[in-house]
Amino acid sequence: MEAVQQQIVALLPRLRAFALALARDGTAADDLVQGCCERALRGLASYQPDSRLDSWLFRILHNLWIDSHRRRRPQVPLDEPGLEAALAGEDGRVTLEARSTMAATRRAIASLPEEQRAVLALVCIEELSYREAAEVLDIPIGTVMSRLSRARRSLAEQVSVDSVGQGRAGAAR
Amino acid sequence: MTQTEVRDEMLMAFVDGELEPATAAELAGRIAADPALAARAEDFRRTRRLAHDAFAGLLVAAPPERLTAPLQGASVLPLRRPWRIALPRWGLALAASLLLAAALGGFLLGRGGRLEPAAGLLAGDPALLEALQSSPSGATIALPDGSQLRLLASYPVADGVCRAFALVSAEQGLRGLACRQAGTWQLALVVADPAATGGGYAPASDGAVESLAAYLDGLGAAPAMSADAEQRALRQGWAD
Repeated sequence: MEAVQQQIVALLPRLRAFALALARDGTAADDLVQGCCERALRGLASYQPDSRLDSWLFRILHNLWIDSHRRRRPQVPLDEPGLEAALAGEDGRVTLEARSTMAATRRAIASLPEEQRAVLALVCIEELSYREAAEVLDIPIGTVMSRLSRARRSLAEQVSVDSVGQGRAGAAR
Repeated sequence: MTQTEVRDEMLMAFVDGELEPATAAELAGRIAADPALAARAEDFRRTRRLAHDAFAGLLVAAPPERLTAPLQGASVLPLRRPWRIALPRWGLALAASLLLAAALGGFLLGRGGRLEPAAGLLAGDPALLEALQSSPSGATIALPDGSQLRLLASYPVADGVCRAFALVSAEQGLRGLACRQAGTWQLALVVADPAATGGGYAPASDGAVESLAAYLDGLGAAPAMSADAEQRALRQGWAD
């Protein structure tokens, strides 16, 4: 059991990133992670040691989010100051330009419907496969793909190539 | 090769490495020959990178203590928050798993199957007393009689602190709670923990955990102290 607890500690950064994509607020995200850990500790008996711990925790966290936060539909923008500090403040080498791109990206992600935020976070941030994301969210893999492609199309439109400061490979459309 | 429109989902799956090799190879050929298709594919590549980079700070940041502390030694007992449940009726709640329960200043317990006054146990067992007073949660202490004591967590209560511990000998496993009030450690509660018998520290059986949790809830105990807070309290000898 202690070994699992240590594994959960190692997964905390990923849980926080997923929670932040869902909750869009740093404090609410950490509340969500805390609740997820409490639920996980209580439910360790139901965890199958040969299954993936990260997927299991993501599922708990997502269910918790659905249960406790969905109805409120918080309007908190994703670029509140504490969040900016949490996300961008660690690396002093990050350029101002890159920061503004990251901020623009976070705003764009925050504006997405929550179903799209969840798949975007699981696949692009947490690097789960489509199938794994489908299992975490308990939706068909085709739904994962349609939500994910819509999310990324919106993101591509909202965060312009110019602001990234790099050219697009291949010829212009 | 057909020149049907390539759907977004397909192009995205290609970029994400989710297509079958044969399908991917065919699509790669079309993309190489079609700048517009290549541009659409690049959008999917770019958005994946953007999303990842926007959250990369969190992926490398150290989580706050309030998230790590409950996972690091402080809560082998996954306690409920104290306000969530009321103190159950003892007779019902403690039932069969309870070897012996005693209110503060109360009853009896001995190791190795003997019963002796709780006050005697603590007063007459300097090793246990010393461990409660000065060892951090997570520490394991070998007691002179061959049993092992492990401190599990510390819980602030109204006018002091309670510490949960596990006591394991070859014959039996116990979970207990000792509380320090008015400068004195007293045994509050001890329950048999079948899961811990045999020298190992298996997770507590549900009955043992529920009993201790219910007792702490009844005292209005706060959630387990963080490692840092406990360290400060230990340095100050649990005094204010």
